[in-house]
Amino acid sequence: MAGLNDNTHDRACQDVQEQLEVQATTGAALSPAARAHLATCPACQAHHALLRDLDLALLEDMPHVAPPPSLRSQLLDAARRAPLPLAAPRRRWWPAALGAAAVISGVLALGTFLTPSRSVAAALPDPAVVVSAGGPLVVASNDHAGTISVIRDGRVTASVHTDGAQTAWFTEGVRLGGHVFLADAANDRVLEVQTDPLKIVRTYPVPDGVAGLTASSDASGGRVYFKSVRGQVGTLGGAHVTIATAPGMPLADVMDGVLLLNGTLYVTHHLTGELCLLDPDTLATRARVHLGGMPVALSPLPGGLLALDVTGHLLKLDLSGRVVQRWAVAGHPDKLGVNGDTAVLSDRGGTVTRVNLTSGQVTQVTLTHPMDVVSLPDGTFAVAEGGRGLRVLDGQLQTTDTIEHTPPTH
Amino acid sequence: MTWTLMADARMFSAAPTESRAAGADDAAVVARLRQRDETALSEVYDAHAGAVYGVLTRMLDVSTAQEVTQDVFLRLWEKPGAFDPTRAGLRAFLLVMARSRGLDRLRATRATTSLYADDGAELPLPDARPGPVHGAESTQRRERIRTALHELSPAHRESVERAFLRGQTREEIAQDMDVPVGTVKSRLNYALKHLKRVLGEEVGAWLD
Repeated sequence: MAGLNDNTHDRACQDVQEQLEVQATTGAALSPAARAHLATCPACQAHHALLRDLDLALLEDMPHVAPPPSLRSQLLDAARRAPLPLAAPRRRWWPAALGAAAVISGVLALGTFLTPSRSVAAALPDPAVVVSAGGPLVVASNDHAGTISVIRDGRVTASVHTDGAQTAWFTEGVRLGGHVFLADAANDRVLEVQTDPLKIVRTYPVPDGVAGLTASSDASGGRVYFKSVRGQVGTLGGAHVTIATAPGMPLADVMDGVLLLNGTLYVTHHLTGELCLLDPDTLATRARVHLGGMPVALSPLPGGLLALDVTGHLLKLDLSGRVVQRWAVAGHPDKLGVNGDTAVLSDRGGTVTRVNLTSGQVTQVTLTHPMDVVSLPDGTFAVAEGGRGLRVLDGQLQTTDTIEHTPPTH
Repeated sequence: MTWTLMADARMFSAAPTESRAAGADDAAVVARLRQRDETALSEVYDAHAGAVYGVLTRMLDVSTAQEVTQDVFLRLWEKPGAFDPTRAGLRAFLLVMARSRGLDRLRATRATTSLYADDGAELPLPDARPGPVHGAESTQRRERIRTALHELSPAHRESVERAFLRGQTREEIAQDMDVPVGTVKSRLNYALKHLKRVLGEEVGAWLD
């Protein structure tokens, strides 16, 4: 009987050791019986230890290969952009230095540095995103309540609070008919907001956060396209595809441009400097164009489009994505509005830049923390100025109107 | 694909005092990482990027190897607490993480499970026996394994690398090396028994 038991044990060892080898190569889990056997069998434990040491010995034995020098600087740049380990909520925004800027803006919000405004508004929260909704403006704030406000005739006429698990961090908004879609990066979602009467009608979860949005409508109805931080592109509540992956990358401080134009969906992937051209119906990739830099925003032009590179360039592209003109701009602008031949770029570091697309003239003004800019139907631009309020600029960057942010009273 | 075998064994033998010193250095530099010291990250990168990138270029195309290399160091920057200097050296930690992430990339098209957790949780060193002495013993054991690997024929060695470094199944190895699956199994079996013999762990049966 002892011989029979020995044979049975040997067969069990053979099976378990074979499972261990498969586990070491493919990652397949051990069976419960194998785990139980391993817990008590010294021979199989030794085999397990051998496989683990073999693994490390092979790794240590590989010849060293020097990575390209650029990888070092890329790593350090990415590390600087990475969120602090205990930072909360996760905030995906560019540049990371504006974490400090946000603190400063909170201090400035207690002051009244704005020039006296022609329009006196009631309780405008500190603005982060501004969307033109036809007549009214919709302003989203990253205040404690994540307040969304509607502004008509120079004053706040309605407001609503959001209910995210994290304090909201609105990064972008688009309009589709009477609704506005707002990307809340802190809560990995897009809010669909009805403007009249103001209410949140739907929430779309976007795993890993929203990097960019665009809206379109045609005879078949409206669609809102998104790009997720990790590289998925799709329609809210619909299909999606993956155009890029950044596994393990720190995904803080990320944003990208999405634009539906002339039957093509254009999407930037700023981590690689690419512009992807997709079929808007099938989401199949038609082409990839390497723009270089870090393209983060797109805007349509007659016969082409503009791409904003946050490292300090504005690019004019034809419909195939080919760069036909390039303007250098100072700073790190990340938002873009266009009216006619005037492009206005906002940089939360404290500048708004105007680029005349015809003459190439570039001019700048200093503002507090311009968080967002949107072109308005009358040819002006509305700027969400962090800590200050809403500012309207004409095509020469002259202030034509302001609505003060009203700090909360305690 | 050309599979170039390693011809230059880089043997090293860490004495216990050296191992302790290395462990202390690793602990010190990781403590600086916890304080968000960017120069510490630069130092770690300069010291280990060649080893990490060397492993990944063996597994992946150049572009993906660069991505994963950056990812490995960024993970350490974001989660320095995942490294436990009592369990392994920093290079071993980084290499295991690199291989794990490299296999994840390879396996993305094979629909198999991940071998290691993101932070290298299944680091192939026992954590129940901490201490630099054990670390030195383990280093010496791995050195003997490397010596034994170089005693194998090129075909046996290649089979081992494909299986245990690149995570290929026996069927995949057979196809790539243009031999029957049974031959792959025999080669791996022989190689492991050879390692056991060198380590003094062989059992009588295989010698029969």
